[in-house]
Amino acid sequence: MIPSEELEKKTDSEIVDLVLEDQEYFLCVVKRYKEKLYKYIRRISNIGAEEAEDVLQNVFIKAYQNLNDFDKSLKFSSWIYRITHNAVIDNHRKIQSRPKSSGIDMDDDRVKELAHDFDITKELDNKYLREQILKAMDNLDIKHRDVLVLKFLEEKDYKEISDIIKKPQGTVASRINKAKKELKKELEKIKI
Amino acid sequence: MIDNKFDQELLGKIKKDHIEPIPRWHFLLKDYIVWFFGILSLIVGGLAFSIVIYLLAFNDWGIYSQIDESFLEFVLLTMPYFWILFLVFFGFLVYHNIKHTKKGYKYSFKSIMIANVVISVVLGGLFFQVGIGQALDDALGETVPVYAKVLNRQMHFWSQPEKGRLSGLVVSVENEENFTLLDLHQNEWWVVSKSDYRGSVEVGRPVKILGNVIGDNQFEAKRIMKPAPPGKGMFKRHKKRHLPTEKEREKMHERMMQDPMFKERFEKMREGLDKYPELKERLENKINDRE
Repeated sequence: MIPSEELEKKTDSEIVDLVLEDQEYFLCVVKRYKEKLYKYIRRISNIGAEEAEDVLQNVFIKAYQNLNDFDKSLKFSSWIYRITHNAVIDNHRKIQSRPKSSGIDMDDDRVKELAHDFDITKELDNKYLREQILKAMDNLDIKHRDVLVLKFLEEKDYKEISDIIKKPQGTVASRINKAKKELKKELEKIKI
Repeated sequence: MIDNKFDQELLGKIKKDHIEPIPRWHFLLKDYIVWFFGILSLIVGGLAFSIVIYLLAFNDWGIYSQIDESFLEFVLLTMPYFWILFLVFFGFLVYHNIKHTKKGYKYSFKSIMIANVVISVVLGGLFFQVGIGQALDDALGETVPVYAKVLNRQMHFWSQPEKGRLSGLVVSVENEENFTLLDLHQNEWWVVSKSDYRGSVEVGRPVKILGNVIGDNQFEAKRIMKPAPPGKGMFKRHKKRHLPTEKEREKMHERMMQDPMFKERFEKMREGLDKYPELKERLENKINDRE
Protein backbone atom coordinates (compact mmCIF):
# COMPACT_ATOMS: atom_id res chain seq x y z
CA MET A 1 0.00 0.00 0.00
CA ILE A 2 1.17 3.51 -0.81
CA PRO A 3 1.45 5.74 2.26
CA SER A 4 -1.53 8.03 2.80
CA GLU A 5 0.53 11.27 2.50
CA GLU A 6 1.64 10.19 -0.93
CA LEU A 7 -1.88 9.15 -1.89
CA GLU A 8 -3.20 12.58 -1.01
CA LYS A 9 -0.88 14.13 -3.59
CA LYS A 10 -2.16 11.91 -6.39
CA THR A 11 -4.74 13.17 -8.86
CA ASP A 12 -8.18 11.55 -9.14
CA SER A 13 -7.18 10.02 -12.44
CA GLU A 14 -4.10 8.40 -10.90
CA ILE A 15 -6.20 7.06 -8.05
CA VAL A 16 -8.58 5.50 -10.60
CA ASP A 17 -5.63 3.63 -12.15
CA LEU A 18 -4.65 2.38 -8.70
CA VAL A 19 -8.21 1.23 -7.92
CA LEU A 20 -8.26 -0.82 -11.12
CA GLU A 21 -5.23 -2.69 -9.78
CA ASP A 22 -6.34 -2.94 -6.16
CA GLN A 23 -9.89 -2.29 -4.96
CA GLU A 24 -8.66 -1.18 -1.49
CA TYR A 25 -7.68 2.16 -3.07
CA PHE A 26 -11.33 2.82 -3.76
CA LEU A 27 -11.53 4.07 -0.19
CA CYS A 28 -9.47 7.10 -1.31
CA VAL A 29 -12.14 7.99 -3.86
CA VAL A 30 -14.83 7.51 -1.22
CA LYS A 31 -12.99 9.69 1.29
CA ARG A 32 -12.44 12.46 -1.26
CA TYR A 33 -16.01 12.65 -2.48
CA LYS A 34 -18.42 11.29 0.13
CA GLU A 35 -19.09 14.62 1.90
CA LYS A 36 -19.40 16.65 -1.31
CA LEU A 37 -21.70 14.13 -2.97
CA TYR A 38 -23.79 13.65 0.15
CA LYS A 39 -24.39 17.41 0.31
CA TYR A 40 -25.18 17.50 -3.41
CA ILE A 41 -27.69 14.65 -3.04
CA ARG A 42 -29.41 16.40 -0.15
CA ARG A 43 -29.40 19.74 -1.94
CA ILE A 44 -31.10 18.56 -5.11
CA SER A 45 -33.43 15.95 -3.68
CA ASN A 46 -35.91 16.18 -0.90
CA ILE A 47 -34.85 13.07 0.94
CA GLY A 48 -33.79 12.40 4.50
CA ALA A 49 -30.27 11.69 5.76
CA GLU A 50 -30.61 7.93 5.81
CA GLU A 51 -32.06 7.70 2.32
CA ALA A 52 -29.38 10.06 1.05
CA GLU A 53 -26.74 7.68 2.44
CA ASP A 54 -28.38 4.79 0.59
CA VAL A 55 -28.30 6.80 -2.63
CA LEU A 56 -24.66 7.68 -1.96
CA GLN A 57 -23.78 4.02 -1.45
CA ASN A 58 -25.39 3.18 -4.80
CA VAL A 59 -23.45 6.03 -6.42
CA PHE A 60 -20.12 4.64 -5.22
CA ILE A 61 -21.02 1.11 -6.25
CA LYS A 62 -21.98 2.34 -9.74
CA ALA A 63 -18.82 4.40 -9.96
CA TYR A 64 -16.73 1.37 -8.98
CA GLN A 65 -18.45 -0.86 -11.53
CA ASN A 66 -18.03 1.72 -14.29
CA LEU A 67 -14.47 2.79 -13.56
CA ASN A 68 -13.32 1.45 -16.94
CA ASP A 69 -15.79 3.80 -18.60
CA PHE A 70 -14.23 6.89 -17.01
CA ASP A 71 -13.18 9.21 -19.83
CA LYS A 72 -9.92 10.87 -18.86
CA SER A 73 -10.70 13.92 -21.00
CA LEU A 74 -13.32 14.74 -18.35
CA LYS A 75 -12.74 15.86 -14.79
CA PHE A 76 -13.23 12.89 -12.46
CA SER A 77 -15.43 15.13 -10.30
CA SER A 78 -17.71 15.84 -13.29
CA TRP A 79 -17.92 12.11 -13.99
CA ILE A 80 -18.82 11.11 -10.42
CA TYR A 81 -21.25 14.05 -10.11
CA ARG A 82 -22.91 12.78 -13.29
CA ILE A 83 -23.39 9.34 -11.73
CA THR A 84 -24.80 11.03 -8.63
CA HIS A 85 -27.10 13.25 -10.69
CA ASN A 86 -28.47 10.16 -12.49
CA ALA A 87 -28.89 8.24 -9.23
CA VAL A 88 -30.83 11.14 -7.70
CA ILE A 89 -33.06 11.44 -10.77
CA ASP A 90 -33.76 7.66 -10.65
CA ASN A 91 -34.51 7.90 -6.94
CA HIS A 92 -36.69 10.97 -7.49
CA ARG A 93 -38.81 9.06 -10.01
CA LYS A 94 -39.41 6.33 -7.42
CA ILE A 95 -40.34 8.67 -4.58
CA GLN A 96 -42.14 11.45 -6.42
CA SER A 97 -45.36 10.94 -4.48
CA ARG A 98 -43.78 11.43 -1.05
CA PRO A 99 -44.17 14.75 0.81
CA LYS A 100 -41.38 17.27 0.36
CA SER A 101 -38.95 18.45 3.02
CA SER A 102 -35.96 20.64 2.36
CA GLY A 103 -32.57 18.96 2.18
CA ILE A 104 -30.67 22.05 1.13
CA ASP A 105 -28.27 23.73 3.51
CA MET A 106 -26.33 26.98 3.02
CA ASP A 107 -23.95 29.06 5.01
CA ASP A 108 -24.42 32.82 5.51
CA ASP A 109 -21.94 33.81 2.79
CA ARG A 110 -23.74 31.66 0.24
CA VAL A 111 -27.07 33.22 1.25
CA LYS A 112 -25.62 36.70 0.65
CA GLU A 113 -24.19 35.64 -2.73
CA LEU A 114 -27.51 34.19 -3.78
CA ALA A 115 -29.38 37.32 -2.66
CA HIS A 116 -26.97 39.33 -4.79
CA ASP A 117 -27.37 36.96 -7.79
CA PHE A 118 -31.12 37.29 -7.59
CA ASP A 119 -31.11 41.07 -7.09
CA ILE A 120 -32.69 40.83 -3.66
CA THR A 121 -32.17 44.32 -2.30
CA LYS A 122 -34.39 44.11 0.78
CA GLU A 123 -32.54 44.18 4.08
CA LEU A 124 -33.47 40.86 5.62
CA ASP A 125 -32.18 38.73 8.39
CA ASN A 126 -29.86 36.05 6.97
CA LYS A 127 -31.63 33.22 8.72
CA TYR A 128 -35.00 34.36 7.43
CA LEU A 129 -33.65 34.93 3.92
CA ARG A 130 -32.05 31.48 3.90
CA GLU A 131 -35.32 29.87 4.94
CA GLN A 132 -37.23 31.70 2.24
CA ILE A 133 -34.73 30.87 -0.51
CA LEU A 134 -34.74 27.22 0.52
CA LYS A 135 -38.51 27.21 0.57
CA ALA A 136 -38.62 28.75 -2.92
CA MET A 137 -36.05 26.26 -4.24
CA ASP A 138 -38.04 23.38 -2.80
CA ASN A 139 -40.94 24.43 -4.98
CA LEU A 140 -38.86 24.24 -8.16
CA ASP A 141 -38.86 21.38 -10.60
CA ILE A 142 -35.91 19.02 -9.94
CA LYS A 143 -34.15 19.87 -13.24
CA HIS A 144 -34.24 23.58 -12.40
CA ARG A 145 -33.23 23.04 -8.79
CA ASP A 146 -30.39 20.80 -10.00
CA VAL A 147 -28.76 23.43 -12.24
CA LEU A 148 -29.16 26.15 -9.59
CA VAL A 149 -27.53 23.92 -6.99
CA LEU A 150 -24.68 23.02 -9.36
CA LYS A 151 -24.11 26.63 -10.37
CA PHE A 152 -24.60 28.54 -7.14
CA LEU A 153 -24.00 26.02 -4.37
CA GLU A 154 -21.56 23.53 -5.90
CA GLU A 155 -19.96 26.41 -7.87
CA LYS A 156 -19.49 24.41 -11.06
CA ASP A 157 -18.83 26.21 -14.34
CA TYR A 158 -20.97 25.74 -17.48
CA LYS A 159 -18.67 23.11 -18.97
CA GLU A 160 -18.74 21.02 -15.80
CA ILE A 161 -22.51 21.33 -15.51
CA SER A 162 -22.77 20.30 -19.18
CA ASP A 163 -20.62 17.21 -18.45
CA ILE A 164 -22.65 16.37 -15.34
CA ILE A 165 -26.16 16.65 -16.74
CA LYS A 166 -25.08 15.60 -20.27
CA LYS A 167 -26.61 18.57 -22.06
CA PRO A 168 -24.95 21.06 -24.45
CA GLN A 169 -23.58 24.21 -22.80
CA GLY A 170 -26.21 26.33 -24.58
CA THR A 171 -28.96 24.24 -22.99
CA VAL A 172 -27.27 24.58 -19.59
CA ALA A 173 -27.21 28.38 -19.95
CA SER A 174 -30.86 28.60 -20.95
CA ARG A 175 -31.88 26.16 -18.21
CA ILE A 176 -30.08 28.23 -15.59
CA ASN A 177 -31.78 31.38 -16.86
CA LYS A 178 -35.16 29.70 -16.75
CA ALA A 179 -34.47 28.32 -13.28
CA LYS A 180 -33.49 31.78 -12.06
CA LYS A 181 -36.72 33.23 -13.43
CA GLU A 182 -38.72 30.45 -11.76
CA LEU A 183 -36.96 31.05 -8.49
CA LYS A 184 -37.59 34.80 -8.72
CA LYS A 185 -41.27 34.09 -9.29
CA GLU A 186 -41.33 31.85 -6.22
CA LEU A 187 -39.57 34.53 -4.19
CA GLU A 188 -42.05 37.18 -5.37
CA LYS A 189 -44.88 34.94 -4.25
CA ILE A 190 -43.53 35.11 -0.73
CA LYS A 191 -42.82 38.83 -1.18
CA ILE A 192 -39.03 38.75 -1.04
CA MET B 1 -21.01 14.32 8.28
CA ILE B 2 -20.67 10.76 7.18
CA ASP B 3 -18.69 8.56 9.50
CA ASN B 4 -16.11 5.88 8.70
CA LYS B 5 -18.74 3.20 9.23
CA PHE B 6 -20.10 4.20 5.80
CA ASP B 7 -16.73 3.51 4.12
CA GLN B 8 -16.34 0.12 5.76
CA GLU B 9 -19.92 -0.88 4.96
CA LEU B 10 -19.45 0.14 1.34
CA LEU B 11 -16.21 -1.79 0.94
CA GLY B 12 -17.79 -4.75 2.77
CA LYS B 13 -20.73 -4.74 0.34
CA ILE B 14 -18.40 -4.59 -2.67
CA LYS B 15 -16.46 -7.58 -1.35
CA LYS B 16 -19.48 -9.55 -0.14
CA ASP B 17 -21.40 -9.13 -3.42
CA HIS B 18 -18.24 -9.75 -5.48
CA ILE B 19 -18.75 -6.46 -7.30
CA GLU B 20 -16.06 -5.91 -9.92
CA PRO B 21 -15.38 -3.14 -12.44
CA ILE B 22 -17.04 -3.98 -15.76
CA PRO B 23 -14.28 -4.82 -18.31
CA ARG B 24 -13.20 -2.03 -20.67
CA TRP B 25 -14.07 -4.07 -23.80
CA HIS B 26 -17.72 -3.98 -22.72
CA PHE B 27 -17.78 -0.17 -22.94
CA LEU B 28 -15.71 -0.13 -26.13
CA LEU B 29 -18.08 -2.62 -27.78
CA LYS B 30 -21.09 -0.52 -26.76
CA ASP B 31 -19.40 2.55 -28.21
CA TYR B 32 -18.52 0.80 -31.48
CA ILE B 33 -22.09 -0.50 -31.84
CA VAL B 34 -23.50 3.01 -31.38
CA TRP B 35 -21.04 4.43 -33.95
CA PHE B 36 -21.67 1.56 -36.36
CA PHE B 37 -25.44 2.13 -36.36
CA GLY B 38 -24.95 5.90 -36.52
CA ILE B 39 -22.76 5.60 -39.63
CA LEU B 40 -25.05 2.96 -41.13
CA SER B 41 -28.06 5.28 -40.66
CA LEU B 42 -26.10 8.09 -42.28
CA ILE B 43 -25.29 5.91 -45.31
CA VAL B 44 -28.90 4.69 -45.61
CA GLY B 45 -30.00 8.35 -45.40
CA GLY B 46 -27.52 9.18 -48.19
CA LEU B 47 -28.94 6.36 -50.33
CA ALA B 48 -32.49 7.61 -49.75
CA PHE B 49 -31.38 11.11 -50.68
CA SER B 50 -29.80 9.84 -53.93
CA ILE B 51 -33.21 8.35 -54.86
CA VAL B 52 -34.93 11.64 -53.98
CA ILE B 53 -32.49 13.50 -56.28
CA TYR B 54 -33.05 10.93 -59.04
CA LEU B 55 -36.85 11.16 -58.81
CA LEU B 56 -36.85 14.96 -58.65
CA ALA B 57 -34.32 15.35 -61.47
CA PHE B 58 -36.69 13.46 -63.80
CA ASN B 59 -39.98 14.80 -62.54
CA ASP B 60 -41.27 16.09 -65.93
CA TRP B 61 -40.89 19.67 -64.75
CA GLY B 62 -41.74 20.92 -68.25
CA ILE B 63 -45.08 19.11 -68.39
CA TYR B 64 -47.08 20.88 -65.68
CA SER B 65 -48.11 23.67 -68.11
CA GLN B 66 -49.95 21.05 -70.17
CA ILE B 67 -51.93 19.52 -67.34
CA ASP B 68 -54.97 20.81 -65.51
CA GLU B 69 -53.23 21.11 -62.14
CA SER B 70 -51.27 24.17 -61.02
CA PHE B 71 -47.52 23.99 -60.48
CA LEU B 72 -48.04 23.65 -56.72
CA GLU B 73 -50.53 20.82 -57.22
CA PHE B 74 -48.11 19.16 -59.64
CA VAL B 75 -45.33 19.37 -57.05
CA LEU B 76 -47.60 18.05 -54.29
CA LEU B 77 -48.82 15.18 -56.49
CA THR B 78 -45.38 14.00 -57.55
CA MET B 79 -43.26 14.59 -54.41
CA PRO B 80 -41.43 11.45 -53.27
CA TYR B 81 -43.05 11.57 -49.83
CA PHE B 82 -42.00 8.08 -48.85
CA TRP B 83 -38.32 8.80 -49.42
CA ILE B 84 -38.55 12.15 -47.67
CA LEU B 85 -40.14 10.48 -44.61
CA PHE B 86 -37.57 7.70 -44.84
CA LEU B 87 -34.82 10.34 -44.87
CA VAL B 88 -36.31 12.14 -41.86
CA PHE B 89 -36.61 8.83 -39.97
CA PHE B 90 -32.98 7.93 -40.61
CA GLY B 91 -32.00 11.52 -39.78
CA PHE B 92 -33.50 11.00 -36.33
CA LEU B 93 -31.75 7.63 -36.01
CA VAL B 94 -28.43 9.37 -36.72
CA TYR B 95 -29.29 12.00 -34.11
CA HIS B 96 -30.24 9.32 -31.58
CA ASN B 97 -26.99 7.41 -32.14
CA ILE B 98 -24.78 10.50 -32.04
CA LYS B 99 -26.45 11.55 -28.77
CA HIS B 100 -25.57 8.15 -27.31
CA THR B 101 -21.87 8.37 -28.12
CA LYS B 102 -19.56 9.44 -25.30
CA LYS B 103 -19.31 13.07 -26.39
CA GLY B 104 -22.64 13.32 -28.21
CA TYR B 105 -24.34 15.25 -25.41
CA LYS B 106 -22.09 18.26 -26.14
CA TYR B 107 -23.85 18.93 -29.43
CA SER B 108 -27.25 20.53 -29.77
CA PHE B 109 -30.11 19.10 -31.82
CA LYS B 110 -29.66 21.92 -34.34
CA SER B 111 -25.93 21.37 -34.89
CA ILE B 112 -26.30 17.58 -35.23
CA MET B 113 -29.18 17.96 -37.69
CA ILE B 114 -27.36 20.58 -39.80
CA ALA B 115 -24.27 18.32 -40.00
CA ASN B 116 -26.56 15.38 -40.75
CA VAL B 117 -28.30 17.21 -43.62
CA VAL B 118 -25.00 18.43 -45.10
CA ILE B 119 -23.47 14.92 -45.00
CA SER B 120 -26.67 13.35 -46.44
CA VAL B 121 -26.70 15.89 -49.29
CA VAL B 122 -23.03 15.28 -50.10
CA LEU B 123 -23.36 11.48 -49.82
CA GLY B 124 -26.68 11.48 -51.71
CA GLY B 125 -25.20 13.64 -54.49
CA LEU B 126 -22.22 11.33 -54.74
CA PHE B 127 -24.40 8.20 -54.84
CA PHE B 128 -26.62 9.84 -57.46
CA GLN B 129 -23.60 10.77 -59.59
CA VAL B 130 -22.29 7.19 -59.64
CA GLY B 131 -25.76 5.88 -60.53
CA ILE B 132 -26.68 4.25 -57.21
CA GLY B 133 -29.96 6.20 -56.98
CA GLN B 134 -31.02 4.90 -60.39
CA ALA B 135 -29.89 1.32 -59.67
CA LEU B 136 -31.87 1.28 -56.42
CA ASP B 137 -34.97 2.73 -58.09
CA ASP B 138 -34.75 0.14 -60.90
CA ALA B 139 -34.36 -2.72 -58.42
CA LEU B 140 -37.24 -1.50 -56.26
CA GLY B 141 -39.43 -0.94 -59.34
CA GLU B 142 -38.87 -4.52 -60.40
CA THR B 143 -39.59 -6.08 -57.03
CA VAL B 144 -41.72 -3.93 -54.68
CA PRO B 145 -45.49 -4.42 -55.19
CA VAL B 146 -46.46 -0.94 -53.92
CA TYR B 147 -43.78 0.82 -55.96
CA ALA B 148 -46.12 3.04 -58.02
CA LYS B 149 -48.36 3.99 -55.10
CA VAL B 150 -45.73 4.55 -52.45
CA LEU B 151 -42.16 4.69 -53.72
CA ASN B 152 -42.60 6.60 -56.95
CA ARG B 153 -45.57 8.96 -57.04
CA GLN B 154 -44.78 9.89 -60.65
CA MET B 155 -45.97 6.46 -61.72
CA HIS B 156 -49.22 7.02 -59.90
CA PHE B 157 -49.45 10.53 -61.38
CA TRP B 158 -49.20 9.04 -64.88
CA SER B 159 -51.82 6.37 -64.16
CA GLN B 160 -54.85 8.65 -63.97
CA PRO B 161 -56.61 8.43 -67.37
CA GLU B 162 -59.66 10.30 -66.02
CA LYS B 163 -57.33 13.26 -65.45
CA GLY B 164 -55.82 12.93 -68.92
CA ARG B 165 -52.68 11.03 -68.02
CA LEU B 166 -52.01 7.47 -69.07
CA SER B 167 -48.90 5.34 -69.12
CA GLY B 168 -48.18 1.73 -69.89
CA LEU B 169 -46.67 -0.70 -72.29
CA VAL B 170 -47.44 -0.74 -76.02
CA VAL B 171 -48.68 -4.24 -76.79
CA SER B 172 -49.71 -3.86 -80.38
CA VAL B 173 -49.52 -1.17 -83.04
CA GLU B 174 -52.46 -1.43 -85.37
CA ASN B 175 -51.62 1.48 -87.64
CA GLU B 176 -50.19 4.97 -87.56
CA GLU B 177 -53.10 6.27 -85.58
CA ASN B 178 -54.00 3.42 -83.29
CA PHE B 179 -52.24 1.17 -80.87
CA THR B 180 -53.08 -0.87 -77.80
CA LEU B 181 -51.61 -0.18 -74.43
CA LEU B 182 -51.63 -2.10 -71.17
CA ASP B 183 -51.64 0.29 -68.24
CA LEU B 184 -50.01 -0.36 -64.87
CA HIS B 185 -53.27 -1.79 -63.49
CA GLN B 186 -53.35 -4.31 -66.35
CA ASN B 187 -56.21 -2.57 -68.14
CA GLU B 188 -56.12 -2.64 -71.90
CA TRP B 189 -56.50 0.72 -73.69
CA TRP B 190 -57.26 1.43 -77.32
CA VAL B 191 -55.29 4.58 -78.04
CA VAL B 192 -56.19 6.93 -80.89
CA SER B 193 -53.71 9.55 -81.92
CA LYS B 194 -53.37 11.93 -84.80
CA SER B 195 -50.06 13.30 -83.63
CA ASP B 196 -46.74 12.14 -85.01
CA TYR B 197 -45.76 9.54 -82.47
CA ARG B 198 -44.06 6.90 -84.55
CA GLY B 199 -40.70 7.57 -82.91
CA SER B 200 -41.84 6.56 -79.47
CA VAL B 201 -44.52 3.95 -80.12
CA GLU B 202 -43.19 0.49 -80.64
CA VAL B 203 -44.45 -2.84 -79.39
CA GLY B 204 -42.82 -3.66 -76.08
CA ARG B 205 -41.86 -0.08 -75.28
CA PRO B 206 -43.36 1.96 -72.44
CA VAL B 207 -44.98 5.31 -73.22
CA LYS B 208 -46.77 8.03 -71.32
CA ILE B 209 -49.60 9.94 -72.89
CA LEU B 210 -51.37 13.24 -72.32
CA GLY B 211 -54.93 13.27 -73.66
CA ASN B 212 -58.42 12.31 -72.60
CA VAL B 213 -60.75 9.35 -72.25
CA ILE B 214 -63.14 9.13 -75.22
CA GLY B 215 -64.96 5.92 -74.40
CA ASP B 216 -64.70 2.64 -72.52
CA ASN B 217 -60.98 1.98 -72.32
CA GLN B 218 -60.44 4.31 -75.26
CA PHE B 219 -58.02 7.16 -74.98
CA GLU B 220 -57.33 9.99 -77.38
CA ALA B 221 -53.67 10.99 -77.24
CA LYS B 222 -52.60 14.59 -77.65
CA ARG B 223 -49.01 14.03 -76.78
CA ILE B 224 -47.05 10.80 -76.57
CA MET B 225 -43.75 10.73 -74.76
CA LYS B 226 -41.08 8.39 -73.59
CA PRO B 227 -41.47 7.88 -69.85
CA ALA B 228 -38.85 9.40 -67.53
CA PRO B 229 -36.13 6.98 -66.39
CA PRO B 230 -37.51 6.49 -62.83
CA GLY B 231 -39.79 3.47 -62.77
CA LYS B 232 -37.93 1.67 -65.57
CA GLY B 233 -37.74 -1.39 -63.35
CA MET B 234 -41.48 -1.43 -62.97
CA PHE B 235 -42.02 -1.39 -66.74
CA LYS B 236 -39.54 -4.24 -67.00
CA ARG B 237 -41.60 -6.25 -64.54
CA HIS B 238 -44.76 -5.21 -66.36
CA LYS B 239 -43.25 -6.26 -69.67
CA LYS B 240 -42.22 -9.67 -68.40
CA ARG B 241 -45.70 -10.33 -67.10
CA HIS B 242 -47.94 -8.73 -69.62
CA LEU B 243 -46.46 -8.51 -73.10
CA PRO B 244 -49.04 -10.50 -75.06
CA THR B 245 -48.21 -13.42 -77.26
CA GLU B 246 -49.01 -13.41 -80.97
CA LYS B 247 -52.22 -15.36 -80.26
CA GLU B 248 -53.34 -12.84 -77.67
CA ARG B 249 -52.64 -10.01 -80.09
CA GLU B 250 -54.81 -11.70 -82.75
CA LYS B 251 -57.61 -12.09 -80.22
CA MET B 252 -57.24 -8.44 -79.27
CA HIS B 253 -57.52 -7.49 -82.92
CA GLU B 254 -60.65 -9.59 -83.34
CA ARG B 255 -62.18 -7.89 -80.33
CA MET B 256 -61.34 -4.49 -81.71
CA MET B 257 -62.93 -5.36 -85.01
CA GLN B 258 -66.19 -5.70 -83.15
CA ASP B 259 -65.97 -1.97 -82.46
CA PRO B 260 -67.81 -0.29 -85.41
CA MET B 261 -65.71 2.86 -85.20
CA PHE B 262 -62.47 0.91 -85.33
CA LYS B 263 -63.82 -1.40 -88.04
CA GLU B 264 -64.77 1.58 -90.19
CA ARG B 265 -61.33 3.15 -89.78
CA PHE B 266 -59.64 -0.16 -90.44
CA GLU B 267 -61.61 -0.69 -93.65
CA LYS B 268 -60.80 2.84 -94.79
CA MET B 269 -57.14 2.26 -94.09
CA ARG B 270 -57.22 -1.05 -96.00
CA GLU B 271 -58.90 0.66 -98.98
CA GLY B 272 -56.24 3.35 -98.80
CA LEU B 273 -53.49 0.81 -98.75
CA ASP B 274 -54.99 -1.05 -101.70
CA LYS B 275 -54.64 2.15 -103.66
CA TYR B 276 -50.90 2.26 -102.86
CA PRO B 277 -49.54 -1.29 -103.32
CA GLU B 278 -45.97 -0.12 -102.81
CA LEU B 279 -46.73 1.27 -99.35
CA LYS B 280 -48.72 -1.82 -98.48
CA GLU B 281 -45.82 -4.04 -99.40
CA ARG B 282 -43.42 -1.93 -97.38
CA LEU B 283 -45.61 -2.11 -94.30
CA GLU B 284 -46.12 -5.84 -94.67
CA ASN B 285 -42.36 -6.32 -94.95
CA LYS B 286 -41.86 -4.25 -91.82
CA ILE B 287 -44.39 -6.33 -89.91
CA ASN B 288 -42.80 -9.56 -91.12
CA ASP B 289 -39.35 -8.29 -90.21
CA ARG B 290 -40.51 -7.51 -86.68
CA GLU B 291 -41.99 -10.91 -86.24
